[in-house]
Amino acid sequence: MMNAVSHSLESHGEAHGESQSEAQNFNFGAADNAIELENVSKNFVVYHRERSVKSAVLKVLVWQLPRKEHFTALENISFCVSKGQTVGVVGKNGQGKSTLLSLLARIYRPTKGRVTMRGRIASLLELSAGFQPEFTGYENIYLNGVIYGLTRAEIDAKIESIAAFAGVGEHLTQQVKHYSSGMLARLGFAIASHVEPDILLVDEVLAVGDAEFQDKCFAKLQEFKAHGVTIFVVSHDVRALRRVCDRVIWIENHRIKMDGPAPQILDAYEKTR
Amino acid sequence: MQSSLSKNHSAANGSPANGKPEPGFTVVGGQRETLLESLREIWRFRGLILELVRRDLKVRYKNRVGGILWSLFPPLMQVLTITLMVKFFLTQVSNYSAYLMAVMFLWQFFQNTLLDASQSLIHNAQLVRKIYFPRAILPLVNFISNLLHFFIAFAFTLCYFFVVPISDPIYPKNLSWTLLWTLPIVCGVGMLALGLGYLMAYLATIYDDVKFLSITVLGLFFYAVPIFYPIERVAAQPAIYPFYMLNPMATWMVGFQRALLPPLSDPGGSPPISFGDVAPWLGVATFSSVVILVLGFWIFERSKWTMMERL
Repeated sequence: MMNAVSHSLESHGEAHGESQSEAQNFNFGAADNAIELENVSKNFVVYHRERSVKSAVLKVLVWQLPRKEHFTALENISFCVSKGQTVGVVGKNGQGKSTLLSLLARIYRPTKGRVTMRGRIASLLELSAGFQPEFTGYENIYLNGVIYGLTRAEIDAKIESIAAFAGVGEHLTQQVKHYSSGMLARLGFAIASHVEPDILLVDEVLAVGDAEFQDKCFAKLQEFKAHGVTIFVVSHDVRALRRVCDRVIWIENHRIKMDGPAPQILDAYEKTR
Repeated sequence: MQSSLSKNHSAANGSPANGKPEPGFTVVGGQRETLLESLREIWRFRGLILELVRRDLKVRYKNRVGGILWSLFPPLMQVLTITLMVKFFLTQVSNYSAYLMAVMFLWQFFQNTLLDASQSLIHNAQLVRKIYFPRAILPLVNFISNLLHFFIAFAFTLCYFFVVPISDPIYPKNLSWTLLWTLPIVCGVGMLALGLGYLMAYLATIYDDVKFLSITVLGLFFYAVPIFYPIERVAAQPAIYPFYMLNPMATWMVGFQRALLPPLSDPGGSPPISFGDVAPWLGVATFSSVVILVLGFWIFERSKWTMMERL
């Protein structure tokens, strides 16, 4: 069986044109692939105008149509991640890392190409995104659990464990708006990590909270790995990636620059900085 | 290359041993789901709909009885103000406040559903930008929680009919089987509000001033539906009446009012209008409401992906 690591060592080459011809090496459609991206491009349309009905009406009256610009966030990205792999993504700001993650989280639809995910997905994109500030910690556990796709009964069974992992104690009966950002992150991570995902998407969240909490996060990630969960991490923190990743994809200029085993790619990446 | 374009991986794509289709998805650039697939996806997320409705109600009725009374307060104040105004400055209509209250809550339901739905994507932008769920459930949640609230107000209205006027209450004297028609009529208003809500939610992601515009337009629209004047006055103008009733909301309001209450006993010279007189128009209103709902939902679904990018 062709493993994603073995072929990806060859890398997509410094010359961008080669990545197309590499495509036949990908094992698209294999049942043990958790993530597949097939020639994926993502363009955004940026409008240069005021966003109001008023200005739209006025502009039509003087016959001035909105000027729009296309912005390419990702161009012709292809890779497969087999089940159980932990993949990190590095790259500078504005190179398309977050767009890539949003595509995997099904927030955006690719402009071209195909994205396939196999398994239950949990995204640690922004831990407190689903919180209702007026609700207590407990109420938010239920709300967020359902947003992540759990049923109420499943949450009932897990509530003790979530509360214990969050480690915010008595505060769970208080409104979340009184929480500190560290406590929010703890609670958010506690909920997301109890979703029992097959695929976990992580965005920079390893950088929040105190050292103790970060260790807890790493321990949890290792536990996920041990259970065969596919993990996809976007981070600037090379040291953190070294700790958890098997494989790293380096994105530069909206394309894949390198793709291979974590130590090599991270070494190469660090040299450029 | 797989030929399957379906969004959810079916059994063909390696399902686990328990026979349930493996969760996950395939998204292909430039391809849209059919409306049927969208509906199925919404149904799959019914648990989330329930939870979000629960969240809405919890926020609204934070302290039980007080919260419920408090939310009835604004429309009741409106009823009181208009009743007093009519009493002192316009011609007398007996039981005016009852006729007014019957439609005031229905109007509130329509208006709140529309306004909430139009802001739903923006209010939940945090969530929508981070986590996948069918976007169409957000306006739906606004609709359901406003509907539940309407039923509370409706119960209050019915109680009101039993006590007013105190000397000779409207109910049970005028209670009739046409009361049952109120339920399909509320559904009709709901379809209309939801359809327009989807449309507004879509527009609100393109333009920032949609909220203010819709408040203004709804404020004007308030005068184009028979809320504070009796429909008999409109029917007395045969040149205007058919066009007036083409507005589905006007028909729904008249139908609702006359299903609950008898024709006015003193309409000021014009012939009284009973529920039976309105009934043919209900068909027209049903048709236009369904069309608006389908159209609104279709427009929303068509652009649900690009809407996310503009939030």
